Order: sequence, then structure tokens, then C-alpha cells
Amino acid sequence: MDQVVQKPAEIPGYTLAITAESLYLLNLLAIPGLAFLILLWLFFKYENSSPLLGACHLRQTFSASIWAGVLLLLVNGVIFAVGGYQTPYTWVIAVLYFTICHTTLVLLGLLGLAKAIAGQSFHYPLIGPTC
Amino acid sequence: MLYSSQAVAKPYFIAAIALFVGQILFGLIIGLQYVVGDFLFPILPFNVARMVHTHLLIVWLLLGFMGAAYFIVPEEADKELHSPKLAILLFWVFLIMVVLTLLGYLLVSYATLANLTGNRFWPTMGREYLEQPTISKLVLLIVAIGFVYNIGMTIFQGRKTVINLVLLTGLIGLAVLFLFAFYNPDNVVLGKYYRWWTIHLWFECVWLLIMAALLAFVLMKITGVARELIDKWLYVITAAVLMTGILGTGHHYYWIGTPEYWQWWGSIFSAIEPIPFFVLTVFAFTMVNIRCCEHPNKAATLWALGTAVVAFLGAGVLGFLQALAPINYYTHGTQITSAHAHLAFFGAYAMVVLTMISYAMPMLRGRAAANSHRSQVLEKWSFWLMTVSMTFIALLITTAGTLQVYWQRFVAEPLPFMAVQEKLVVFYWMREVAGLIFLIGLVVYVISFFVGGEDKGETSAGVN
Amino acid sequence: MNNIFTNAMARNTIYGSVLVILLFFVLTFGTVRTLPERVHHENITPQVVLGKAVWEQNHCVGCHTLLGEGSYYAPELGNVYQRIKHQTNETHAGPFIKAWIEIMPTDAPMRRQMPNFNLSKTELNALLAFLKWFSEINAANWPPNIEG
Ligand code: HEC
Ligand code: HEM
Ligand code: HEM
Ligand SMILES: [Fe+2]
Repeated sequence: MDQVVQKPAEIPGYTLAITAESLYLLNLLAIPGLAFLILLWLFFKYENSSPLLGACHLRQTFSASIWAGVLLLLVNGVIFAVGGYQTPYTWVIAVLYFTICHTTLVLLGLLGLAKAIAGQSFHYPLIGPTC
Repeated sequence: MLYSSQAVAKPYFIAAIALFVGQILFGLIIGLQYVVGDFLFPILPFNVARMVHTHLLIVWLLLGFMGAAYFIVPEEADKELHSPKLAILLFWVFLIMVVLTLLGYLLVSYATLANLTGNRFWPTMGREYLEQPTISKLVLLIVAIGFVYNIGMTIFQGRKTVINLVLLTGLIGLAVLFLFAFYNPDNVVLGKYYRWWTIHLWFECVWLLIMAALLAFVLMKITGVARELIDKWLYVITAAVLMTGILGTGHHYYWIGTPEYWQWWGSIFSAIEPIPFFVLTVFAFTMVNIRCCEHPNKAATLWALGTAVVAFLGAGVLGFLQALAPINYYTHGTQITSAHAHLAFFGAYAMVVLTMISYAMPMLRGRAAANSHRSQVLEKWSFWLMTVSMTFIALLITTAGTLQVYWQRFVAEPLPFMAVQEKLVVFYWMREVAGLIFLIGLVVYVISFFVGGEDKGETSAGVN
Repeated sequence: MNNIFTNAMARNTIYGSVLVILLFFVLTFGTVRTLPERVHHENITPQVVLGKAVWEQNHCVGCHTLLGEGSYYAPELGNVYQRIKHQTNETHAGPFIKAWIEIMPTDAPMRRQMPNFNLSKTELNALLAFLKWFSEINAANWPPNIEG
């Protein structure tokens, strides 16, 4: 396999790309809010000054994180505000909505991370800017 | 195919698919009995049909694992299988045991079967997943030992790759943990405690190692990525599985009479149990992203990626959904459990066996590296039909389960079990429809084997 | 990345599982020690043991759950003795359960059916003793309510 492929790790912006995707996932899974703050900080610090690959993943995850917040918190808030806590259907809709939505977002993050590790760019469908 | 002894995998795979079809037919029967309670009663009571459904599931997966191991191990060890004759002998022993057990279930009542097989001398029957008569269990154990011996000797005398070693660890674990199936003390709680050492540690520990090894092998072959990199991922997955899955057993010890401290340990370790599934998904997609070559077997690639994703959905998401003690207090033993069981089993194990079959079968049948385009198109259709319908089954049953929990356990004036079930009929009917679509997918899958056309590609891609 | 995290390091992470296994054994030891008290081991009479055998050899777990484990087709039986007691009273609960098992199936059209197992009087009494013993196990306050 002596093809001349550039090793992913040598592409400029590689580490930043992986960091961005990891933070996106951490924000969804382990430390919501905190991970987003770090991502926010990275975004303002490096968005314009980093190599293409890093900047792309940074913009994607930043935008996707904001959408994630809106989709998960706001919409669920609305579901309960409209339905109330007392009827079972509110719970069914909230549980289903949250599970499906959250899972989709996490799955996209996993695909993004797999792209970052491969040194390739990734576009979050609908919720990511073009880059 | 590099070694002629790999061919012993073929009967294993064919039998696995046949039993899979049987499993689904019985799944549809019990799905119907959920809504038409007297369907086939009393010829085929629910408990019998359900037992056939889960028994067939376990044995077809075991056949798939054994076939996969016989295919992989010689190639990885760089030598012929230690004893192909033993492999074929064990195949027939296993199959006869399976069929006789099935006939026992279907032809006589369970109590008669227990009586005929001398359960009173060594009672092991009548527990979930461990319904087989004691003799059947012994035969299974002997087959497992002979199989591990055969595989172990091959590896021992040949090249010891990481894939082979992880696979072997999983298979030895499978055989050893099965020993707990023979322990059934008078203290039911103690029996329940150790039953999970077989059941949970199979599904969420050693089988996962087997699954990871199979997936790693197929990914290495179809992407041509360097072995060292695959090995590194496999190490990490193995570590993650062992470190989370073993104590994750605690999530079965919340409410069965075991001490309260399990609520802490079980919850903490279940919370990190999805990690191996994350890593597996990222692993599979990264390998495909950095592939060196285009392997002609597109269907196998699809199955491999699908395995990682659906295992993540079924085990990582739906498993976690009910794994924390305060939630499990309400969801324990409801349709929510069933939803998780279905998607996890399908995603992690059914699909990995289908991945392996998809990769190996063309070569086992003397074709080139891949089936014809037409055959692959059908196979991909079957992939989508089965995967999507199973996802819908899981969603429908999760919905039913949420309502069940609400009416039966959550509200101030709970309704009786049977009254709640009547309110959920509509979801069970929809599950049945989704199940029929699953069956169609499975039929398409079987048909894809009989579609000819021009084979594709070289027999081996990559350099590993 | 590749140089920082070598294959040898990846392999070594596996040794971490030794700790987990040790912890598992410690917790198992603790469990096995406290179980006799939690399940009232002294109440496991020969009749209860026979009841357990009847339970297993008729595959009740193929339709019912027992403390949430089993099948989800029919009511939870871990607390069925308490439930029936709640619906009737202390003296009637036992006879009610035995009568229930004896008059099955209901043969009500479309309704889920429980087979008749043709149990002898001894077996029925043993089964009842088993269910009664079981309903007194300390299961951390589960199920959430009497309906199971
Ligand atoms: C084929 C499935 C099936 C099997 C096997 C089965 N049952 Fe049942 N059982 C049911 C169903 C269904 C009901 C609810 C019937 C109804 O309400 O019409 C039920 C109800 C009961 C009840 C009443 C529960 C309540 O809360 O009112 C008891 C007690 C019971 N079963 C005991 C047993 C025992 C003991 C065994 C094993 C010897 C057993 N069952 C095996 C299906 C089964
Ligand atoms: C491939 C992996 C998995 C498979 C095949 C699997 C399968 C199953 C099955 C069959 C059951 C039902 C057991 C029964 O009949 O009582 C079950 C229950 C359960 N599983 Fe999994 N599982 C997997 C992974 C996971 C993971 C990763 C988690 C947690 C994060 C998890 C959490 C649970 C819990 C909490 C229960 C108990 C549900 C209850 O209280 O009734 N599982 N699993
Ligand atoms: C496609 C149609 C299918 C239908 C209609 C169906 C239906 C059912 C039903 C009704 C049960 C009994 C639940 C109960 O205890 O009350 C069950 C159990 C089970 N089925 Fe299926 N099934 C189907 C396919 C599958 C597949 C493809 C798998 C795995 C690959 C599977 C794995 C299981 C398992 C593991 C259980 C035991 C669940 C538990 O204990 O929680 N089934 N199924
Ligand atoms: Fe488990």
C-alpha cells in the first residue's frame, strides 16, 4: 500500500478539527454548557486564523451546537408549555421527540468526528453553514 | 478465500439464515397473540412461541459467530483450520440439538419436556433465555468447548493477530460464562443474580468483543486500511467494553432483592456503557473515510456501517434511556425493555452476522470478491427494509412502553396490567405491520442469494 | 496523534479492567452475604422449593414477569399475593389464587389466554407458598405500586 496519501494527522488544522467535534459531542452528552463555552472561546479565537480544515469543523460544530440548544431545550419547553405535565401524551411526545432529536444530533457528531479523524471536512445537513 | 478449510463456514451461515427466518415467523405469531389473545390457543400458547422466538435468535447468532470464526481465524492465523472435520461434526451435533429442542417445545407441554429430560435431577429449565432442557445445555456446552479448542489450536499454532486474540477472548468468555446457566439455587434471588453472569455478560461484554473483532476484520478487508491502525482501535474498544460492561451488570440488580448499593454502581457504569458503541461507530466511519481502495462488495460495507449505527441506537441510546436507577424504577420489565432488546439485538448481533455473511458468502460460493450488481442491489434493499422496520418496531414499542409506565406505574390511581394493555392495542397492531415489512426485507435478503449475474472484483483487496 | 498514543499504550488500557473485575467480586461478595436476610432465607421451606420447581417446570416466566424479569404479556407475579390480598383479604388471597390457576383458561374471545396446567393440590399449595414467600422479599420498594 505504498500510495502517496497524506497522513491525516499532517493536514494543518487536524487537532483543532478533532477538538471541535469532540466538544460538540461533549456538549450533547457529558458537560452541556461548559463544553459549549469552550467551543465558543475556540470559535472566536481561531475561526479566522486557522487552517481550512480546523476552521471548517469549528464553524460547523459551533452552528450545530446552537441549533442543538434550540431544538432540544426550546422545543421541549414548548411541548410541555402547550401540553402540561398531566397528560400522558405530552410525555410520549416529549420522550420520543427528545430521544430522536438528541440521537440524530449525536449521530451527526459521530460522523463529523469520523471525518475529522480522517482529515476531511464535514457539513452538518441543514444545521451547519456551508464551508 | 485463502485456505480451503475456511469453507466449513458455509453450512453454518446457511443454517443461521434458515433459523433466522424461523425466528421472525414466530416473532410475528407472538406479535399477533399480543392483540388477538386467543390466536392459536391452546395449540401454541404465547410462552411456547416466545420461547421458540428467543431460542432461535440465540442459536442462529451462535451459528453465525461460529461460522464467522471458522472463516476469519485461518485467514488471520495464516494456516489451515486445526480440524475441519471436527468443525463439521460439531455443526451437525449443534443443529440436531437445536432441532430436537424445538420439537420438544412444540410437540409436548413444557412440563412434560422437563419431565422427559430429567429436569428434576438437575433443574436448570424455566428461566428466561435458559429454557433449554439440561441435556440441550450440556450439548451446547460441549459444542462450545470443542469449537473453542479448534479455534484456539489454530491460533496457537499460527499467527497471533489482535483480531484473532480478541475474537478468541470473546469465544472463551462465551463458553466459560455459560457455566453459570447450570447453577440454579433454591434461593431464587441468588439464581437471578448469577443468571445475569451468563445473559448480561454475554450480550454486553464477551459477545461485544466477538462483534468488534468481526467488524474489525471486515472493515480491514474492505477498506484496506493498515492493520496497525485497526489494531489500535480494537484495543481501545476492547478496553472500553470490559471497563463498562462488566460492572454494567449492576443495572439488572436494582429491584430483584439485591442490596441497594447496586443502584449506584449500576447507574454509574451504565452511564458510561454507551462509550464502546460511540467508539465503534467512529471507528467504522473513520476506516471507510480513509479507505485506500474501492472494494466491490458495497453491500458488505453498508452492513458494516449499519451495524455500528444501529448497535449504537439500540444499545447505546435505548439501553441508556432506561439504565439509570430512578428511571428504571418505572420502566423495569415493560415494553420499553422490549424495545431496547429488539433494536440492540438486531443492530449489534444480527447485523454483524449478516455483515460477515455478506462479506464471506460470495467467496465461499466460489464467486469473486462480491456478488453481481443486481444481487447487491437486492441485498441493499433488504438492508433498508429490515433496518427501517426494526427501528419503527422499537419506536412503536417505546411509545407503548411510555404509556404503559404512565398508566400502570406513574399516576396516582394506577390501572391494572390487563386494562393498560387494552389501551395499547393500536401500537401492537402497528408493530405487527412493521414486523411484516421486516419479513418482506428478510425474504428479499434470501432471494438476493439466488440472483446471478456477473461477479465482481478480485478475491482480496488490500494487503492485510 | 499517532505518535502520542501508540499501539502499546492502547493495549495497556485493557489492564484497567482488572480493577473493574476486582470491584465486581467485592460487590458480589457483599451481595451474597446480605441476601439471606433480604430474602428471609429461613422461610425457604421444602414446600417453597417445590413451588419453585412447579413455577419453573410450567414456564410461568414465558408470559409473566417475576420482579420485572421475564415476559411482558401478563401481570407481574412477584407481588401477586399482595395484590390479591389487597383486592380480597388475608384469608381469601390464597384460595383465590389457587382457584384462578385452576379455572384457566378463560376462553374469553380475543382476550389473552393462560393455559391450564393440571396441577395437583400439592403442587398448587407449593406454588402458593412460593409466591407468598417471594412477595416478602426486600426488593428496594419495587414495584412502584400494587399493580406491578
Ligand atoms: C401463555 C401465557 C401464560 C402462562 C404460561 C402463565 N400465565 Fe398466568 N396469566 C396469563 C394471562 C394472559 C393472565 C391474565 C388473564 C386475564 O386477566 O384474563 C394471567 C394471570 C395470572 C394470574 C392473576 C394475576 C392477577 O394479577 O390477577 C396469576 C396468579 C397467574 N396468572 C399465575 C400463573 C402461574 C403460577 C403460571 C405458571 C404455572 C402462569 N400464570 C403461567 C398468561 C399466562
Ligand atoms: C448489544 C448490546 C445489548 C444487548 C444485545 C442488550 C440486550 C438486552 C436484553 C435482551 C434485555 C432484556 C433482558 C430481560 O429480558 O430482562 C436488556 C435489558 C437491559 N439493558 Fe440491554 N442490551 C445491550 C446493551 C445495553 C447497554 C449498552 C445498556 C446501558 C447503557 C443496556 C441497558 C439495559 C438495561 C438497564 C436493561 C434492563 C431493563 C429492565 O429493567 O427491564 N443494555 N438488554
Ligand atoms: C420482526 C418481527 C418481530 C416481532 C413481531 C417480534 C415480537 C416479539 C414479541 C411479541 C416478543 C415478546 C415480548 C414479551 O415478552 O412480551 C419478543 C421478544 C423478543 N424478541 Fe422479537 N420480534 C420480532 C423480531 C425480532 C428480531 C429481529 C430480534 C433480534 C434480532 C428479536 C429479538 C427478541 C428478543 C431478544 C426478545 C426478548 C425480549 C425481552 O426479554 O425483553 N425479535 N419479540
Ligand atoms: Fe444488561
